Amino acid sequence: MVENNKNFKTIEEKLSLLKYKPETISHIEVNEELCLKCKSKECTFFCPASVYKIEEGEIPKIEYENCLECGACKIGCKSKSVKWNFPHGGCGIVYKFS
Amino acid sequence: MAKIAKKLYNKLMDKKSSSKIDVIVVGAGPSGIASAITIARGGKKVVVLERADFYGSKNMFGGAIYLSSIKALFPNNWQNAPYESNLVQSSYSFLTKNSSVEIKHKTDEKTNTISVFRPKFDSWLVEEAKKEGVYFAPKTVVRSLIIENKKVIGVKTDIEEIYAPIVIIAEGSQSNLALQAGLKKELQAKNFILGVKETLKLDKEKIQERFNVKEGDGCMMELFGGLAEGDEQAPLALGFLYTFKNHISIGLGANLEDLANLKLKPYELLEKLKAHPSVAPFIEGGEVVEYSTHTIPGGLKDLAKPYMAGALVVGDSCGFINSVHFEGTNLAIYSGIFAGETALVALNKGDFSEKTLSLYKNKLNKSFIMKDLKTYKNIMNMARNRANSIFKFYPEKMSEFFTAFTAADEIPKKNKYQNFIFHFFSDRKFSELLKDIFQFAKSAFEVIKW
Repeated sequence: MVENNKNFKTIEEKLSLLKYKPETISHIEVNEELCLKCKSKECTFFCPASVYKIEEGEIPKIEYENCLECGACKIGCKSKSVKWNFPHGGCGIVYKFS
Repeated sequence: MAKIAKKLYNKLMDKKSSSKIDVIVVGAGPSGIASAITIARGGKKVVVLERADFYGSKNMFGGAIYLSSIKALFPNNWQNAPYESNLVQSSYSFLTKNSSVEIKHKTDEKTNTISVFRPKFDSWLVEEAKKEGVYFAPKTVVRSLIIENKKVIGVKTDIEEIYAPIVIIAEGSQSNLALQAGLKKELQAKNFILGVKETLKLDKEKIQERFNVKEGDGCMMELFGGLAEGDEQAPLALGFLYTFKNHISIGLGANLEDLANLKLKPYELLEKLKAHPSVAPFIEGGEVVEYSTHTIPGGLKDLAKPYMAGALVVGDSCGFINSVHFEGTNLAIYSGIFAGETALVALNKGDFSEKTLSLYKNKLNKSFIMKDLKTYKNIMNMARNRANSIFKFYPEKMSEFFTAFTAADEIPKKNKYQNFIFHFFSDRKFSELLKDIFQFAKSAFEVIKW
């Protein structure tokens, strides 16, 4: 029902509107040992940029290029396996109407 | 990248290479800039380090600033900031699945609340600060504090170490430095709100017509409920809408732990809100130009200790957010001013001890900042515990009441009232009602008690 709305935007469409200054090295690290123990993988839900994607295997694929730098993963990860830091100076998201 | 930042930084330093830095401010948001301007006005050398290339381009909020703090910081030129719309109308809507009950306040006087876009507004703050002698180093990420004998003596960036007798931590909600210094224990999901919003382009004429406002004026809406149906647990989530000159923003703030526990995707909640029959007509025809997100710290229970030898913590870094009134920049700017004043006292005394810098805490305690945070100390917790009541049950009952009240049919009105009252008590366990009464009364008492 929601999808019929003309204003509807998927997360991919939302992200495609944004301007980034690309970072070449990931600013997100995951402690694999701790991440493997987590079965619920809440990060794949609450991350507002859908950076964490469930793929084959137990550790989510991290699309760090899409990160909006809110830091929710660092705070919300229950297994405390996400090490998130700021991208390098000037890199990452560039908002204009925020 | 690092080379450019270093060059720029060296250039800045060369201007006054003979004098050393008095204060390093980490972060060029409202709190950092307010403290830097206060310090520069006291004749001291202050450098603001900012990780973004364009000022304000990492910052995000719902949409409005409060003029009292801008006037306090810029008594002579507060009018010149890049304002969007004067928000003369605020409304509070309680949503069910397909209906809403709304309370609206409107005035024809100028209000204290004005919508702005942060990249434009924060850039203006920076330009004003530069005029007053504040130095800025953009594209500079501070990775850690340099601490010696429990005293902060400088910062480590990606490229170098910079030393100053005072460091003001204004890096925003992530509070990396406050955590490193032990001023904050840990960041807990239960204390955080995750905000997501979209900015839509919509013609000025359409905004004026749709929201019934004059040119230059605008409105804000708070949207309660409408995000959970049937047996679904309602998250603590509050929607908002702001109008700008040629744009509107629509978004929501949701408790991060609720999102995690209920496995909710914030952008899908946003779509649900946008599609609500009482909300969709407001954004109809608007072109989405940006999606943005931010974490919002908050509440008295989650505050960082605001000072230690050689360092002060301001704004979001310290947790200065009043979620009930959507106040963030206000607290940021005033805390920045207090920190700046404290830094000046310390610099003039040449004493950067914890004891001297505790003056900042006194200033905070005496101000509305700590008073307001104390007033609302339990309200977020209460709202989270009673989310099903606040965001589901009562909006539904309000809607049922008006449906019965406005339907003119053959059912006698007395029966309708009796029926409404019967269902009010029978639709839910009585114990839930008692919990609501107790929790609401407790929160209300905390707010108004002497």
